[in-house]
Parts: sequence; C-alpha cells; structure tokens
Amino acid sequence: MKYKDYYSILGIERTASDDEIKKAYRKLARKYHPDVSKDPEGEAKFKDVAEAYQTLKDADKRSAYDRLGSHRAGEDFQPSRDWGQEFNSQFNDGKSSFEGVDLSDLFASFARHGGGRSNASFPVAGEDFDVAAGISLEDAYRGTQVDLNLSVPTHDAQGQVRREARTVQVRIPKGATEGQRLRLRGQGGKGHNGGRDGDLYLNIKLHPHPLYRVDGFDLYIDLPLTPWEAALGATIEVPTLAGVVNLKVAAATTSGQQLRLTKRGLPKPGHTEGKDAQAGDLFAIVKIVMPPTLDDGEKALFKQLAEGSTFDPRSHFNRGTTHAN
Amino acid sequence: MQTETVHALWLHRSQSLSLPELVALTGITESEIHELVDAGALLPANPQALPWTFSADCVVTVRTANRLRHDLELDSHAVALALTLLSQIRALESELAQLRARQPVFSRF
Repeated sequence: MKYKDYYSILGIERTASDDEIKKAYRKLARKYHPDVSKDPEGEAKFKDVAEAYQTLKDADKRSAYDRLGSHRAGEDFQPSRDWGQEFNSQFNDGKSSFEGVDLSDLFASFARHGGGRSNASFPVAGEDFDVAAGISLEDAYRGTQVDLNLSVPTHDAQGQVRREARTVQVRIPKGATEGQRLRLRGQGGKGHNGGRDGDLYLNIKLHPHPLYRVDGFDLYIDLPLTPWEAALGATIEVPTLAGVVNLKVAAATTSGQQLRLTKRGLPKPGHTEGKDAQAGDLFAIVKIVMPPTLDDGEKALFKQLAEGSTFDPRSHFNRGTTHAN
Repeated sequence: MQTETVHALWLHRSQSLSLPELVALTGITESEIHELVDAGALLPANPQALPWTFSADCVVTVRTANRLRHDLELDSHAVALALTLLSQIRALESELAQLRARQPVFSRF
C-alpha cells in the first residue's frame, strides 16, 4: 500500500494536539470542500484531508498510524506482522495479508474491528460515489452510454475492506444538460453485514461545442449574416442537433437580434418523446459580418449606397448635446 | 473485472418525490428532513399541502446538506445558511452562464 503522511496533509507537526488537528482540518475543509471550493483539485485534496482527519482525530487510530512509522509520502510499504497482531485481529490467523488494502480502508475497517478488540457485526451502508461524466452535446441530445471505471471498496470474508476494479456501463437517457444529476441505485460501494449498497451519482459535464453555447436546455448559436442578407432578408440554413433547418431572416434585421427556433434545443428530462415532448429552444444570434476585403465592384456598390441613403444610425447623438468648437 | 449495464434516473425538478421516497433516496430520517425544512434549507413543492412532496433535485440539496453537516461539522442553522448562500452562488453562476451564452463570439471573424 502507498504511505500517506497524514500530518503533512493537514500541515501540522507529529506532536500536534487534538485541538490543533481539528483547527487544521476545519481550515482546509473550508478551503477544499467540493461543495464550496472552486479549486479543480479541491475534491481530491479534500478527500486526503478528510482521510487524515478521520484517522488522527481518533486516539486509537492515531496511535496505530504513528506505529506504522515514518515513510516518504507515496512510498510503497507493508505494515509489519507485529503491527497487524497488535492492531488488527483479523491478521492474527496468518492467512490474511495487506495485499490490495488501501491505507484509508485499513483505518476504516480498523474502526469496525475495534482496533483488534472484538469483531462487531452491525450493518454498514456502502459508500455513495459522486462521479463527473463528460459527454458531448450530441450525446446529450440523443442519449448515450458511458463506461465508468470505478475502484469500489468491498469487504472480503474476514470483513476487511479491499479495492475492486469495476466497470459500470451507464445508459444516459435523453434529458442531460450541464450540471444535471443522475442517480444509479446500488451502484456505489457494497454494504456490509446487511447494510444497504451505496448509490452512484453522476454529475453531467458537457464538453464545449464549436458551434453551440448552452444555457440549461436552451442553445445559442451565432448566425453570421452579410450586410445585404440583413438588409434585404434571406433564408439561411442553420445547423441544429436534429439536422439543418431553413430559417427565414426578415429584412432590416439588426446585429444582436435573437431568432428563436422553438424546441430545437436539448430535450428535457421526463418529456423527451411523443406529443408531450418538451425541449429547450435554439437561439440564433445575428452577427452582421463585413467581408474582410472589398473588391472594386463591392466598393462601388457600397459607395453608391452611401451616396443614395439618408439613414443615420447616430441621429440620437445630436439630441441634447452641444458641439465643442 | 465485473462489467454491468445499469440505467440512470434523472434528479430533475420536473420529477416529484413523496417524503418517504426522499427518505429512501437520501438515507436520512424523516425528522432530519423536517429539520431541514424548518431551517429553511429545503422547500417542499407546497409546504401547506400535506403530505409533502418534493422535486427530485431536492435529493441533491439533502445530500449537500448531509455532506456539509458531516464534513464541516455544522449545525442545522449553519447548514441552512450555507445552503442558502450556495444556492445564491449557483443562481449567479447560472445567470453568468446565460449572459455568456447570449454573448456573440466576435473574435471568430
């Protein structure tokens, strides 16, 4: 198993008092807790901090941890046989080993085994897992399947927690959008002694899309128009997640105007099929785009327009203002 | 290595849950749900209509409340305050995301 330096994780000395341990934990928990932290590494950091605190706040566990000795963080090590005999009764039989046992699981099971005292058999619920699942917008639109590789704590015949690799194929139905949660009942850690199995919670993260921006179930796409399309009106082919549609742009359309394509956004959960199907909208935001360079013919046409037009987009500048010299 | 296929259920506000369902989904007791409602951290669909029903996204709220209570060692009032502030942050983030989504990307041209 890999050694973790719990004191270093909490930023305290090995001689720290209980109060110092608690203060250090609270400070770091506020900083890294996944519900309040914006640090992308926050969740992993908090997991380490919580694991360190769970062990060091308990006098028996702390004593057992200290007796493991000092190692470099991340160094592979095995607790000595003496340690196993003193602190973990199940290793007294000489048949069990620490193979595949994680340091955190060792101390989690330590609590249940009473530090080598009696084997309690009360129900222990399996751990709930929270996992982020990144999918594309197209997958969210159609529904998809993702493979999740999990390291699941399970209890062996002796009640020792061991990590087991498991792949769960999850069918994600239509109705996904950024931050949407899914619950998979019983797909978390296995319960022990009749305790319920934990659940798996998926937090949907949408990959950025080159064309669409997402707001809930609504989508936004930039609709570049030439000045003459905006002036005269046009029928424009617009890509949607269901395929290309023709969108009529009225004459005298201005930049920034939003054209709504009803129900061309993402399907909403529980209402994805049939007559009652509900979906967000697709908004096309008009952007009037000038050609990067004008050829002589285009220049001549624009000059002709400039000379013939009386349109003044800045007429409001003159109201209530005075000219400086 | 085991491989299994499972189907997922959305936790979305359009889905409705009874109080016993919410208890079963979150693993906390009915009295703890009442405590969260009393503290203003959790809102039934219609607080006056008994028995209470909740939108399915309340599962996320209750789990967050549980984590905050346990991990940060907060009491019910502190949990309710933290949830209120988190909800305000989420609302502001959502408004910001909406404004960003509506903002044309001029740099492409």
